[in-house]
Amino acid sequence: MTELVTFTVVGLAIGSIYSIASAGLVVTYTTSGIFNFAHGAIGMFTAFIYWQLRWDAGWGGQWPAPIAMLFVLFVVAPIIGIFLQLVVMRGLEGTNETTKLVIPIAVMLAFIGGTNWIWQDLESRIPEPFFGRESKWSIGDAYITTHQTIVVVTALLLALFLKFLLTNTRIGITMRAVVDNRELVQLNGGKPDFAALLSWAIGAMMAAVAGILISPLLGSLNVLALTLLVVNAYAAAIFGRLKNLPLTFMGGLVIGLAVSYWNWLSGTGRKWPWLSELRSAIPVVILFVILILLPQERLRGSSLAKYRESFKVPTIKSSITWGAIFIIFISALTLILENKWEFSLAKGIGFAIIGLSMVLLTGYAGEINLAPLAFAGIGAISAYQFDVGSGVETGAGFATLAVFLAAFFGYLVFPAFGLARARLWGAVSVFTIGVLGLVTIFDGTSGTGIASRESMSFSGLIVAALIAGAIGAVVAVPALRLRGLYLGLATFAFAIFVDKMVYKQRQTLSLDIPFIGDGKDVTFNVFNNGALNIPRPGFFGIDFRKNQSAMLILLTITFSLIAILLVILRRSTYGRQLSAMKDSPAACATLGLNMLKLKLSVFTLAAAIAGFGGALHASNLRAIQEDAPFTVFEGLALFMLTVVSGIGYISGALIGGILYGTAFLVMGDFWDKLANDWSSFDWLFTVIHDFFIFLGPAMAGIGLGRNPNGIAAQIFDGYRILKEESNRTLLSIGVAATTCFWIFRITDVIDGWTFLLLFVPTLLLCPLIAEAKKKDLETEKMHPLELIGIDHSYTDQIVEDLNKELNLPFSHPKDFEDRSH
Amino acid sequence: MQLVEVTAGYGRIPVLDGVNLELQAGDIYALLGPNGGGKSTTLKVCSRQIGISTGELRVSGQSMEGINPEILSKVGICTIPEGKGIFPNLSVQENLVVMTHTGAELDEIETATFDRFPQLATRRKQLAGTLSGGEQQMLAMSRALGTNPKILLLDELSMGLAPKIVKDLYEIVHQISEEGIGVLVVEQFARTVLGVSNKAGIMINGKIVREGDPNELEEELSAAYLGRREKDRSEQ
Repeated sequence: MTELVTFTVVGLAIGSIYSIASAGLVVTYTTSGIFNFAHGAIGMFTAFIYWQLRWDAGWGGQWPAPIAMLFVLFVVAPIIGIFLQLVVMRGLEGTNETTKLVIPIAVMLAFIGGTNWIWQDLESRIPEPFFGRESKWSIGDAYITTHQTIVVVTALLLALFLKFLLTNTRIGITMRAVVDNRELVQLNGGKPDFAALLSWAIGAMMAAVAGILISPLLGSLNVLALTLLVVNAYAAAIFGRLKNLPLTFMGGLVIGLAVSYWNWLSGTGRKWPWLSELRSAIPVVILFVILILLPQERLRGSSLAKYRESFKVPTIKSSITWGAIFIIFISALTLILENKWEFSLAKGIGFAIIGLSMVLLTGYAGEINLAPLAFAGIGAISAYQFDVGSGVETGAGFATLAVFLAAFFGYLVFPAFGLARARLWGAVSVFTIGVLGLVTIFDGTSGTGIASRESMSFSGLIVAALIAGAIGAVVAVPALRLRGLYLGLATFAFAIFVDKMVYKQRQTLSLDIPFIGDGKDVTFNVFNNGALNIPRPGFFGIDFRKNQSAMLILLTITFSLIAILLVILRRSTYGRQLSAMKDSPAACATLGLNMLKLKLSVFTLAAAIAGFGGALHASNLRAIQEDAPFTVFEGLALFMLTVVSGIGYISGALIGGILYGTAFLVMGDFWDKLANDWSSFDWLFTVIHDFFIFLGPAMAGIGLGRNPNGIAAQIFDGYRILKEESNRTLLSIGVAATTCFWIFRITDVIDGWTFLLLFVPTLLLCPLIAEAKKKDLETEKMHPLELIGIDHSYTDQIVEDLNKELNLPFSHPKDFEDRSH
Repeated sequence: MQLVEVTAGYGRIPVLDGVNLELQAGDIYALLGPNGGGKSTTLKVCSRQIGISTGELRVSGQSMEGINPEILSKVGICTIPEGKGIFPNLSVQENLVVMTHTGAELDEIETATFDRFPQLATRRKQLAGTLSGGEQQMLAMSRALGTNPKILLLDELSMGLAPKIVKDLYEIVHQISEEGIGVLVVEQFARTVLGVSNKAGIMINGKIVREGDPNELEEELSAAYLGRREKDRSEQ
């Protein structure tokens, strides 16, 4: 009985905090239509500020609790909210769902980065509960702390206050009206901007209250843990369908109680070791379940005209050409790059391969997946387990497993290609036999011992892809009916689940797998003490273990091959179906397209690519840890940067991956080096260095997220101009210059940094110059259309230009003649 | 209210090509014409939801340049946009509360609304989105009734409604105009509105091509919609 009371009280207290946080989320969502992913991070940030004011021994510190509280709640939080609305969120109106998701994610990463930057030393910061730890009162034998009481009462008061504000005051009603129809509020004489500001301020305040109240329950302040705790409130918000406040409050309490009772039942995770981390995963499990139980959204034909995004599809020929150029380019670079930099670049390309899965899933098919790195992590773990982890001789059993997985994979993916039944089975069989062949060739399933294998096998990679694909399908099945934000949240929940239940799993799995292990149980150490040493590959007779250049080229070739495959896919009927599904699910349904098959196959395929890339990426890194590089936050950052770079393009994945894996680190290194070289400006360079390391990705996201087509499109436009006839000289100068730098470097005339300083600006400047030149020409040419041809006769060029200007079908005079013959 | 040689458009696409229009107090001006002619755009220009490229919008002889829609609605220009001019996720009562931003008192609005549309009074607490189409349009119209505007701009009042309800609504429009309020009505459903209006214009390709007495215009309407010319008709 005492235990019941104690755990109920704990659950109610935590649940109340979730309720407060989720109510803030609901307020901003109902009044701005933006799901504030940064909500948790705001709570975390304000909790740090409160700690600073209240307990830090140095700056601030020792403020009395009420004053610190009032300051944070009524000064800091509203400023954050108002600033966000004015600077970031206001520009999101009329953008598409992906952008609306990405910008708040960028803001969240900015808060996380910023907090890590400001409070970067590793001292432990322990906030005390209100009135201290000893202040408590009792019911029977159970104690209730004053802090818990305050938490529950605060939640109740805030609930009443919000309910009153939103339904009984004019400004509250107006805030809700803004979501329904912003223009109509204006026509009624209301000020939508003011209502939005107020709602963001209130939202931030609620996050702050939640953050400050929850931090003493956690022990020492931890950036990610605190952010994730408030993220748990997302489940509560979805419980209230993002608009119903009473339901939201109830949802928060239910989640809090569920977590608390689970702790009680499982003896804080000791009773069932496999589920020891479930207590931190319960909220996301609930989130996932609620999302699935939500009534299905009606099919909508999204109005394309509203969005400004449009992705050009490259031809297969050009993609092969560019793939080859890319491989040659990187190979040439390996001759001059130091090992360290090759490693960084390989890291970027590894992320880019994983990014390709997002190009397929989000860019082509319009399905948002916030868990790309969870699939990558699953791939890496699978490859590890099948190559070295199981510690058994693999043999026929291994091949059997691969065959089963391949058949399952084929069964999921191939139906979407519209094959007739007989052909379908044929294709699945061919695929399965192909996989069997590959596994046999590259592994030698003769049964000779590979327990001591120190390198990753090709078949390990294939199995990684197949397992990730299968799990992708398993996740996709329940998520098939979701779209947009809800799908994003479901995959986000999955990513957190993998973080907690797989990466933190310390158990050993013993399985009796037929044909494997000579009848003995096979043991897998799921995530060995928080770190797995993933071996480098050893196939093709090349030793990738010591040869970083070879590894880099391997990754590059893999990237190019998968990229070409994707372009072929995009150009096929299948690709057009994906694109159609993205543009208008309603139209697809009326055309009789089976979208279930399509979604299932594309999810499977994308997860397989992520798994393959993840395994390869991990083997380049040589090890993965529970907190790097495949965690949920890193996944969000990669997703964000890929979207910013242009998620509809292959090059978007490349730029996103390199930005994330390479660019910010190299830039950080650069400023670090400057700080070393000029020690008098040490402080300045250190600040710049820290800026790039902590805030680089987030700032890139916030700054560039507005362009729906991404950076890739802009860069491409620039290079396309370079290819034009008038720019031949510029192009040849550029090529000559870069080649010269390369030769200088290879002959050691210049050092690595100088090379970088010359090389990168040349790459960036050439298209800029070409663009500027073109603009000049255009302003010169700006005759009004009707005056063209008055002072001189029409040439073919002018006719062509006129057609272009008037949007008439582009026709060469030569074609004309041909046709008339 | 006056539009003088107004051109306007969406982004780079021009829609209005020199529109001249004058609305006197107590007038009901019916702006008719086929799809894509620029009728709704004209209305949006009047309510300043769309900027003017060249030309001028004048109210009581004063230029409205730089005035935003919020202020315009406070000085008595009431716009009821296309579709239902209501907030579907707010209750009927709350919809009325939002109307008070125009400066009118809630009491006045409530009295005006519930006197005229008693059935809305019984549905006070109901979400406006769950009302029937006619009731939604009544709720939208109650802004015109309750907030004492000087000018009323109506866009496609009849869209998706039963003819009887449309007739009733126009009856109300007629009464409103008799209080000295200028009404500009944009409609495709021409016959009904011609019955109550005292002035009409046909708009094609961003220009008002004919303007005059509603009864005279009625004959030309079918020509305008079907794209036939006078000449063709005389040949028949």
